[in-house]
Amino acid sequence: MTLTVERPKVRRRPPALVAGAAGFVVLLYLASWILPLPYDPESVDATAVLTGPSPAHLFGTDANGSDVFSRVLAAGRVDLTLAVLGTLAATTIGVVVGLLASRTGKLARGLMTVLDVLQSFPLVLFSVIVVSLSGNDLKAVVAAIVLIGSPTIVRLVRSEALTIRTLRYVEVAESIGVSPSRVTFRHVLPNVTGIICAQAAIMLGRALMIIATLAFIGVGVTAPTPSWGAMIRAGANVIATGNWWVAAFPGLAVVLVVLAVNLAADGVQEFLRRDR
Amino acid sequence: MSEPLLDVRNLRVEYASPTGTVHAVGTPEDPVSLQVHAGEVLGIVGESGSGKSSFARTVVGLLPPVASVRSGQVLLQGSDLLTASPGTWRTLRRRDVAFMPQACAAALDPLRRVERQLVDVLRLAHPEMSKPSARGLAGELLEGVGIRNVAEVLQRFPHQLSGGMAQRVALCLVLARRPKLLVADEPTSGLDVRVLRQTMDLLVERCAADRTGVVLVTHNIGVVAQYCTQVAVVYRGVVVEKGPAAEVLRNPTHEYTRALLGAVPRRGRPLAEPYRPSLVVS
Repeated sequence: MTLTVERPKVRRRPPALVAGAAGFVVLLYLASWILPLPYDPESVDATAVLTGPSPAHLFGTDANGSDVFSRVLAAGRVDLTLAVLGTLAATTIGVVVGLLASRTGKLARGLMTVLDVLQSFPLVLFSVIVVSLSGNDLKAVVAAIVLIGSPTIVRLVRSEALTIRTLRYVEVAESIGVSPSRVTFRHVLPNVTGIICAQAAIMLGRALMIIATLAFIGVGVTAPTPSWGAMIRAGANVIATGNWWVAAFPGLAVVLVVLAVNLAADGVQEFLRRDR
Repeated sequence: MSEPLLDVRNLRVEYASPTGTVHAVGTPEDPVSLQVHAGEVLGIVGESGSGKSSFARTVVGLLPPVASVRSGQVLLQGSDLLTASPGTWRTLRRRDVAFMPQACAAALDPLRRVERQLVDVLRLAHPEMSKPSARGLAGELLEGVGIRNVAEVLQRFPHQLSGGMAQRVALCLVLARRPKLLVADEPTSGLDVRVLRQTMDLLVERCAADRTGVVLVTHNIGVVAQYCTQVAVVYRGVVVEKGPAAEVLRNPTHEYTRALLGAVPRRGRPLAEPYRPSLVVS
């Protein structure tokens, strides 16, 4: 008689889907730069105002007669670049502050207090004010992403670092006279990189949402530069009269890209979990 | 006898807790005083919660923040460690004072190769040492603990080592800088008897060769009998008996020591009655 033991099956997201999701975003981004756009995204054509999707205008035209397809792609350049920059900035700042806050002492306690105060502000509203006061400077959009996104990263990195600090090798590093900052950056940081990568991927999706939200309200990326949020806003004005395509296509772009980024983030997380 | 290497005088350590203070090491009536001479191995035995670990951690300055030292001195070659600044502590730890935790195999950073970790320790202790010579020395150290394929082991990550090997590498790491004082907090718990013997043999042999003074905190009476020159029996933070290990274990004078020794299982001998102090010290 043979005894077979079924290995418990771990349900995994098919890797093809994850890779495909990541690939989709990268391709879309590259395409937005490389592909010759069929029309100038900022040109105005009074003869082709609000025409529906057709072979000439794949996604139709908006109230200014601009080609929606060209504008969706052109907006991708701006939005994705800003999102990547914002994510990098938010992650870097979040990681450094989180690591410092995981130490003991006045600095760490001070940082956490500042964070508690900061998080009791309605941060989205706060960043709307910051960005519009800066005169819609794109640097301010990056700052807004940092403002909204980094607190999560700080808390996550801190809690993870606190766990690492209780481990033997950190204690031993201290017991052989390694300085506190060296312990933090040489022994704690490398052991939290996994969680940082996963969180950065999630952050990218959030950054896109933040940019779109700001642009929808009319701050950040503003006309005539195309951006998905602003296009949805413009489309919302004409959707009631049946011109659905103006808002639908940039909306679809946001949904698909954020979905793809989040799938990729899940993939990263799952990969790291399997490693443990 | 000459001046002791480590001289702990009238030490008292307390833990603050919401329900009052806990006397971890020493009591107001009975603070702890112990000495260790170079080349000596002082075993500290007692049951869990008796203050053994707190004592060890006080000596190496790694007490948790809730603990506070109430009184006493910890003199290492005549200078007081309790009043030392963080900077002084760091210098001391780099060269003279070593700490070995429980399950010391976990002392290895999982993301760094063995060679890198050994080189780091050596260069912290001797900043003037060049990287190549530190590497050479790291190899020699591993050879010294009986590792054969040194070149290969040096390039491994900790998870690629067997339990026994990791234990030996960690031992190297702790003893690489030939400290004057080694404080080992239950270094043998959780080890199988073969690895335990290997570890203790190496540790004692190394320390004897370098004339390192050792404070060995342990549950294991057998380890004390085999390896320690001196022993202190601790009960509820108070040293109830101390003296040369052979003597104390052969002729225990305190009833707690007798009870502790009687609790060690041995074939063909009934266990002693559990210890119930006639006079509660609190």
